[in-house]
Amino acid sequence: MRESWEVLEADVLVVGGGFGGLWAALRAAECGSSVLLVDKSFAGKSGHSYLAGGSVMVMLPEDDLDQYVRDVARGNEWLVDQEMVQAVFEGSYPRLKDLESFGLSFRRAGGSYVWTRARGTRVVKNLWPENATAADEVTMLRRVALSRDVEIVNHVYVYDLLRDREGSIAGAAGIGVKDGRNYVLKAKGTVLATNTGSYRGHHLACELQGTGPFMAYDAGAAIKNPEFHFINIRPAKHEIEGSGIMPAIGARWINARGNHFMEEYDPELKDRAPAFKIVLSAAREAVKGNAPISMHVEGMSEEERERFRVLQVSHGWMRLLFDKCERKEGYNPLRNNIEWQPAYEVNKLGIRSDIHCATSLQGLFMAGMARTLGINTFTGWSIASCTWSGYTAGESAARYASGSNSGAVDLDDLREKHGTFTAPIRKESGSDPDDLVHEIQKILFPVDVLIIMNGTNLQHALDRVLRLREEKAPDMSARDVRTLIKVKETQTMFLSAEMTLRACLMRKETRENIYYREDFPQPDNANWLKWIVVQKGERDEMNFSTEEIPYERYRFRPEKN
Amino acid sequence: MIIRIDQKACVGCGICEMICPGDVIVLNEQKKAVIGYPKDCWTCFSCELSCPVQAIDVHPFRKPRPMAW
Repeated sequence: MRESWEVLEADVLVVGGGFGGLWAALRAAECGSSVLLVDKSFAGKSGHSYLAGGSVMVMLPEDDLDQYVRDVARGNEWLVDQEMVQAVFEGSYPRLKDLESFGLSFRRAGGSYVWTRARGTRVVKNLWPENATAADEVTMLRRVALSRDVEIVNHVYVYDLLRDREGSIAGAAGIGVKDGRNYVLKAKGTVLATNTGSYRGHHLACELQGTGPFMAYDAGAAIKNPEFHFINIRPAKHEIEGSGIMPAIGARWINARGNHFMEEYDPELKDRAPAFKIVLSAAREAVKGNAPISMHVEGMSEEERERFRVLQVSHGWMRLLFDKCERKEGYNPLRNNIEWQPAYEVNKLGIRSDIHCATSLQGLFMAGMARTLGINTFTGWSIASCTWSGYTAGESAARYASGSNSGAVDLDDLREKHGTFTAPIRKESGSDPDDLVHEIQKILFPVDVLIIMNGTNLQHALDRVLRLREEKAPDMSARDVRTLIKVKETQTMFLSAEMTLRACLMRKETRENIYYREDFPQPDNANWLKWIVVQKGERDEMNFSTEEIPYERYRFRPEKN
Repeated sequence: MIIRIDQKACVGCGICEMICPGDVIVLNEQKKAVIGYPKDCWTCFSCELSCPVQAIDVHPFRKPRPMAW
């Protein structure tokens, strides 16, 4: 580990190189700021964005804003910031036009855009890039960022925020993943676009540990929505994108008895129901002894298969995956029914931010899932909302930077944070962070903990997490920079696991599109049309409170789902 | 999971080492790409898709996770 410091400076620092981070960098540069973007691997080739299917929610000029906002508010069981939803959709068409001007075309037929209906929605449209996945989209955004003189530094892991003497956020501290070099990243405005956290529950989420939101939490910002998760459903043996799009095109969920069980659980949307409802329904079938659960594709027509192939499998890593399943294992996921299982993807907690993506901390802005962007993961919502929040946070950070005279980095603060982060490498031996992550997975992932929840099991899981942390976390040691980063990530997972379990114990109700407590099986609108918010206390304790949802400002008040 | 990098075919361009999101691939003393940390591979296929000489094979199967019904 080197003792010297590399100092990089810009008006705006962006941490993270997926949709949120790249759009933030692009927009801040367009607004006249000098921009530095750092990524712990390789911006535009890594992170959650790179593996997304690529379809995006867009409100076309002929579409009705009211219908779009209502659809998404309803799918979130009314627990979503409707002003944010409106802003996402109002920005969606202009950003589509930006992408086209950058050289990305979207699929058209007969002069109109080709679209599918987003999972979990009734009216909102998903548009599809032509022969491209999200990987091609972020790679293209990277090229545009570089052409706008954004300085991109790869393989630097940011482990904490830095302050100036007045207490404003003045950048971040990082470490070179490959060379162990120490970095001070100085900026007037800082955008965190690091996604939210996970527990390495499936391949899309292997790199998400929540360090971004928890850095901001540690600095005093509030976390919102800690009780919600995105638990996806994936093939038991491999990884396919398409649990949302396959049923939109003609595939159906089926249990071991051959029943299309979603007809019972969601008579209206059926197999296109929101992701959580599919997972919950499948879990209830499994508990009744009706596992395995499969995707019924044998009944799809050739036309439907071709549609899926053209939209999703004709290009990128999905084409490779389908080829290999056929060549190496002798089956085709579009022709043979295969088993699917739950897979924890991400928690939905994020930093509470305003409509400008500003936080309560001077100089700190949030983009992408590191900011709360609602609960329900509709197909195409993630890219649309990360695009909006990136664009908005970049603009806000640039505006802030142009009017700010931020002071020098507080060196005492820097030394303390560096000392805390690097402490595990000075230990002779201790617990391996990978082993502890596996233990956390064993506590959180069983179906009766975070899918079919009840107070007894949540409390038991919380006790186990706290005991594991007390016994093993202080002992974690690191033999190299790579392990040091894993220690930080594991510490963050302990925090998020505790926070999430405490929040789930708090919310005593059920909203079947997003949240299920079997001991409180009804929605409780009298007490729970609210958000849970957490702030760090003076003795590092988690202070939970509820926040009223400002329906008086919104277009829609809660209605029966 | 990444299962093979053909050492004869690898031309040592370093692209896979540069872009691997899990930092799984390292360059050896001959500047050839080798699998350094296989258990950290998350099967994103980036390396295989980016390799100019098709030297890399990623198997589509994932590790079993503790979550099941």
